Amino acid sequence: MEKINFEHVSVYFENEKGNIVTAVDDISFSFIAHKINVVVGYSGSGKTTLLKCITGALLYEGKISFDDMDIEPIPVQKRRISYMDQNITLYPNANVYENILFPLKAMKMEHDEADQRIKEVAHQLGIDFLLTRKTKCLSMGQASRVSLAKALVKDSDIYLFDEISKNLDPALAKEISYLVKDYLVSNNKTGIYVTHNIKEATSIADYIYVLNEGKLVGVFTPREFVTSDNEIVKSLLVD
Amino acid sequence: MRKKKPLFSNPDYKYSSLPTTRKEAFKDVYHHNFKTITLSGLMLLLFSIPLIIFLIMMDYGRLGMTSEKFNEEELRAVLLLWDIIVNGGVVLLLYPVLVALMGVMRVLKLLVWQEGIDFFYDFKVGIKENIKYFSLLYLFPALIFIGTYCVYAFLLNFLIGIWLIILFVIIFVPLFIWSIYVVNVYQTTLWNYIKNGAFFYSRTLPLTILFSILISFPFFSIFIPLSGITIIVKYSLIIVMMVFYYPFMIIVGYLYSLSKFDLFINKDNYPEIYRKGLYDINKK
Repeated sequence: MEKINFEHVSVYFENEKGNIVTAVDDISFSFIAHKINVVVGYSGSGKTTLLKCITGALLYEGKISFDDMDIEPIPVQKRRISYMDQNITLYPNANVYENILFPLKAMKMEHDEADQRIKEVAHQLGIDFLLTRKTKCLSMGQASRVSLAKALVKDSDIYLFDEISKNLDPALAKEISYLVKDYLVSNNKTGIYVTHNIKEATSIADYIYVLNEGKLVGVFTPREFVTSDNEIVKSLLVD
Repeated sequence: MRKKKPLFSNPDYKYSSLPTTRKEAFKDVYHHNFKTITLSGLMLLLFSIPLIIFLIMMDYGRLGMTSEKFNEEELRAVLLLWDIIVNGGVVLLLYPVLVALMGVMRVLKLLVWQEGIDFFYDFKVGIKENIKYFSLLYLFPALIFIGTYCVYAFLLNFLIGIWLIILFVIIFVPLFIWSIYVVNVYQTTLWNYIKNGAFFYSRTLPLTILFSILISFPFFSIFIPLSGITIIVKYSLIIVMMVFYYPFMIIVGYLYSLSKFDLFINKDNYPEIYRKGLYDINKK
């Protein structure tokens, strides 16, 4: 796969008053495979909506395709995607190994293969010595790493990260984002990383996608982004 | 109202807090895996149910055999037959317990080695991996037990009975125990398992005999006079022991046997499992 294409994609919601709100407004662009694609923008700009369209959690108009293959008919479990958001969803009474194993069991992966995957990912994230510890006894940083391991362990083609560092302190957020970058680069995977944090975006991105009010403002390399004359980009940099 | 502690608010687990000695490993395994250890005990109990039910029935049956119902000669003959049935039943019904032990020993080995566990999967794999050699190793003392018991039964000598138990506790039980620990860690032939079991037994004689006595504890209950209350107390204790005591003893046995395997085998021949489950003291 070379690209994840969005062609004239629109997403509409009905708000509490019954009015139709446009979350994503007829956008067409491509995420580049085997790169870290970071999506930035203000709240309500449609960042998370884009991810949820790929995961199959939202209905949309238009077409999303992996290269030429429309994803709509592909069952979600066969899209080879992993999704992680800012919530640390670990089973508190299970240990770290059991937590990371859970998504693999759901996929019905062979146990030996699953065991090997867990050990590889745990090693890469520096949590191999925590595998037999209960998750409720972990620190926030260690819990974040385990949560990240749960997302990475599936060996997907595309990894979607939805503001995963939102609830973390700056040092930990930086650490987690670098772990993501290291993992994606060393395994040649495709990442789509949504964040509010511009510093984080410029430090890990290969390409930065700027969204505003459901529309794509532009696609930039980190260098182009920080030197851009675009008003939206400038305001994001100032904020 | 007490404020609920949020999840993940603890300090970092430090590498330096990991066990560097077998003693520390014991505390660590119990502290972090009590649920898994208890689950192992429950599996042992589950597979012991036929044996426990059989023994309770036989004990209650025996209570009813009094000199009021039979004359002395009849009573002796009935009791002899009864004992043969009980011992034959024990040898047969211990086998399902042994099957559970096969699974539990793999689970507890992984715990001691600080490896991740998928309990029911690893329990099944343990049975699959160990069934051949555990069964063969069990067959040997089981046949000897039946044979020597028959000798005892026909001679009806109390001293022979005592010697039979002593023989088992100081020869066959320890040899069996060491052999099954070797089976769980290494892959070799039956003869090598027995040979290695005998080697480790000879090197650790006093402690192994003590361990065998402790592990054979429930069997000494045959010396307790039977009554309605002692039967209830006896089997309640056995149930509690199955869940808590035996997993505890298996872990103690693992930690001890692994330290001996490290000393005599692993350091030179299997460096990949040398001090497995312990962390490098230099990093502490």
